Amino acid sequence: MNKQSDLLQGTLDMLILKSVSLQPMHGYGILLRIQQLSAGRLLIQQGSLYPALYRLEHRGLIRAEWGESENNRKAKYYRLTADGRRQLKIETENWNRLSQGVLGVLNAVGEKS
Amino acid sequence: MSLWARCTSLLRDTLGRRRMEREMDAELRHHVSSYADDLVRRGIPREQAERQARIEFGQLESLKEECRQARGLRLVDESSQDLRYAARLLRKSPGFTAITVLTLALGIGLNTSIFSVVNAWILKSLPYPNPDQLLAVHEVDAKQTAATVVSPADLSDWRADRQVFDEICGYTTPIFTLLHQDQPEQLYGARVNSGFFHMLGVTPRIGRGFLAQEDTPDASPVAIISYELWESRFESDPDLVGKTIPIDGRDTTVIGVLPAGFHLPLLGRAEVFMPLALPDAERSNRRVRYLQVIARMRPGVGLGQASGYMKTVARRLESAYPATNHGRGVQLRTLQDEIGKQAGTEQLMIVFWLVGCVLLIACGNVANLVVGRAVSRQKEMAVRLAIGAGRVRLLRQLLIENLVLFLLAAAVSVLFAIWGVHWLAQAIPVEVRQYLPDGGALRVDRNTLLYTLAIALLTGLIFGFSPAFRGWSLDVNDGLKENTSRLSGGAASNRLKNGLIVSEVALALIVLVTAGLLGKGLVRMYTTEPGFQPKGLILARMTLSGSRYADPKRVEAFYAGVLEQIRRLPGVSSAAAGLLLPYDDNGNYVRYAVDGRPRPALGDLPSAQLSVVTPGYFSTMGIALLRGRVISEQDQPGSLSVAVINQAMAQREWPDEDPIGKRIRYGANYATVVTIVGIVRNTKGQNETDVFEPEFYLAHRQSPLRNMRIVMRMNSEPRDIASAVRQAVMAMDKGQAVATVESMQQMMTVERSPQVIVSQITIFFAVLSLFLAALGIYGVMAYSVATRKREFGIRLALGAAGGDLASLVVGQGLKLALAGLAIGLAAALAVTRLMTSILYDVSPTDAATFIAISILLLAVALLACYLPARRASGVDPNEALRYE
Repeated sequence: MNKQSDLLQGTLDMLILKSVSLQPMHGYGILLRIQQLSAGRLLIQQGSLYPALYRLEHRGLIRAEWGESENNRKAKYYRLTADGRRQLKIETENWNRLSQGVLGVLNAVGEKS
Repeated sequence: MSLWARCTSLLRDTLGRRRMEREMDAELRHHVSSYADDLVRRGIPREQAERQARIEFGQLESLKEECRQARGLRLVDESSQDLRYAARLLRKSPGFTAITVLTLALGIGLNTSIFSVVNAWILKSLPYPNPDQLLAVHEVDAKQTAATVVSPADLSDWRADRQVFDEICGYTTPIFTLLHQDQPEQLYGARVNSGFFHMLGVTPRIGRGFLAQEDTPDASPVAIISYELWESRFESDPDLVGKTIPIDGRDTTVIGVLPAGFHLPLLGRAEVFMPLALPDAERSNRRVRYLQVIARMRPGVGLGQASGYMKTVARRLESAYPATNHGRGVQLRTLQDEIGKQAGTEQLMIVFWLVGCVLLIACGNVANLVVGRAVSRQKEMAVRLAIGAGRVRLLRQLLIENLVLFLLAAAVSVLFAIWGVHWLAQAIPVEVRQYLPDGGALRVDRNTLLYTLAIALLTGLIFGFSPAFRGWSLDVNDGLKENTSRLSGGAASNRLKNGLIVSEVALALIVLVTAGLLGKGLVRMYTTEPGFQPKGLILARMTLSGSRYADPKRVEAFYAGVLEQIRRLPGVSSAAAGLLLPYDDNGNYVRYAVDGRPRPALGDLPSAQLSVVTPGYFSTMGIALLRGRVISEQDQPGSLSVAVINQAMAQREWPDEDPIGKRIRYGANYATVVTIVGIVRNTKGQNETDVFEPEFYLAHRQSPLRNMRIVMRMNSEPRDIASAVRQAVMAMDKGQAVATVESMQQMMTVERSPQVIVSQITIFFAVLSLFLAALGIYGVMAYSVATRKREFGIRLALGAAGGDLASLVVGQGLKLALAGLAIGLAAALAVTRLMTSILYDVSPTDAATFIAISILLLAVALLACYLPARRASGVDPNEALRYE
């Protein structure tokens, strides 16, 4: 899969929440982390990350602080808030339920008569 | 919680906007450079890496915009742009801004002032728990349908039945004489059933409420006093409760002090409260009625249910006691309504509707201006649409522009409102306001300001935004094509403007007619003879207290002696005493029968006011004798019992005969007989608005009464007459006191004040409506003439005369004014019918007023049309045609 697959609406939010739940990260780090964890199967257009980050911060699910990045640059680090943790749990459950359901349908085998 | 997060985030971003932008920029740049670094590490030359990073990252500016939108900042940005734009526009046309803001502010401000009264008088609920359960209970006479007081026996029967009432209590409002440090003093008081305070939900601040056993005739007397009396007379003595004080000559134990500020308007200025404690014989008395009744409904019982139930109770009593209860029903009203009725809420509501009319007229003018402006900006809007402005965005801008205008007006209106409330507060006398919760205090409070804001927003939407919206045809092609110089806004906006003229004329007519009727009533009120000479009359109310005066001879002797002393006071030319005085606050209706005539059924016997007077009363009051003689010193116990009747009584009973020598019967079993010896002029009753009632006067010597009003005619300016009268009374009996001393003219001023104030306000509104309506008509016609200049030019060029054009314009305006007049007349006829109760001796359909007002309004409308018409006739065809 070399073409970027369209992410389902809201999926990017969930991925961001998951990434920052592991440790505080800056925007570029989040992007790399998602690519790494998905073994390159999920490609995200670089810039589109930021509106999502701003929306999540606006909703109080993540919080940002300024810090030093690896290459000694100032960077904005995001961390999960308590609300964000709750939201991530809900969304993960929803996702699991959805994907189980979809898998169940896709894996159905024709009945033999 | 999420909403909270969003709000705080938005607030932080809005306030720290620059920092937020800086950080966003830094963050995005950091991403790009980090990515470029990685690319370099992968072996791509730096220059190329940086370019690739920027490309892959995406459009920086549009991403930033998306980020801002994600934060909800876009709405803030655009709205503040719109606000700035609106402010600039309004500054650019100061004339338009000033006129609309002032017109609106006047309309809204007047509304707010009147609303502050409505708020204080009607909307403020009584300061008792569950006030909507409290009712005033009246008996009604099937014929008179007027609410009356209740007989003790009826009350006893009601009290025994607790089907719908939790508690039901009777009360009277006597005057008590308190002997305090050997100084007698008359105090307003109330006698109430024992459950009274508990029913209201009022707990004494000190001590306790009345017990049931204290509400019996044999119980030793107890009293509860007001906090204010406790403070002023008893120096807030903490040990007062339990002590005895002499009230009406009996040692009375104080058992409680009420909380500060307790004031039930129906009780007047009562400061001392004692149990009703009716004697056993009185409890079964159904013949006399003197009790006021308040009840509290059981929880869950509604007014309708309670009324229905009490109707069946009344029917049961009617069939059980036909002699006394024939045709008597029960009327329930919430206590709030009852108090409001006494305070004059009817008048208030009418004024409130009228001020609404004024606001509508003002809004009509503003709508007219707004439409004109919208039409002239049509091109601007079309251009903006053409170059890509969103329709929603334009509408929002329109909305914001109008809201700014109307909110500005609301802010200015608060000044008008403060002035209005100030005027009202000093115009409405205390005597009228005392009936209200909180003493009817008027102020511009939170509710009032919310009301101001609400009507500003509402009128802004209806009269600002929507006409502007309609005035714009949001069609790009049309807007760009049309030549603005002769734009009239099309048929839709013409219809709107014509509609505005018609409604303004109609509304103005309603206000003017009301003002006309009230004004005519006011003139009648001041020119009607009250039947006596009020100038220089002083009146002192008093009640003799104590068992000493159980003997009528002593009562008679006391008043004779006091009057003798008062006559000797400097400045007093004559003095007498009477029971019922014009404009005074009591009435004394009795049923009577004419001797020698077949007696009608008991319930159908006529009633009249019964007064008792001392010799010299009629001459002191200045009441003219028409026939026969007045009550004199010769009318003594033992001699013929005499009566003097007034014209109204003579007219009712003996329209074609001479009443002198005729006899009437009244009292228990109609056993008391009096012979008529004279007829006097009618005098005003309790209320200014009452018609002259039949009345008969008895001689005080023949039927002495303890409570009388002493009247004095002064021939010079009275100097502290009140204390002179008090000394005269104390000289006769050290234990007696005078309740109040007032001048008759002062009482008349108070009595007339509601009429005067309502008339003043309404006339002011009428003048304002007339002015605003004239302005509105003028505005529309002038605008119409301006936009038709070219048409007029052509007409002139084709041979029309200037006068033809003028009459064309006047005709057009006149047609609209006449339509408004017709609608207004129909509406006014319907509306004024509701005002019968506040009109003084004027029919609500008084033809002369309707005609005069119509002519006035038409004349003003004509003038308003004529000025623009003259301009139309003066159009220069050359210039008009070149105007293109």
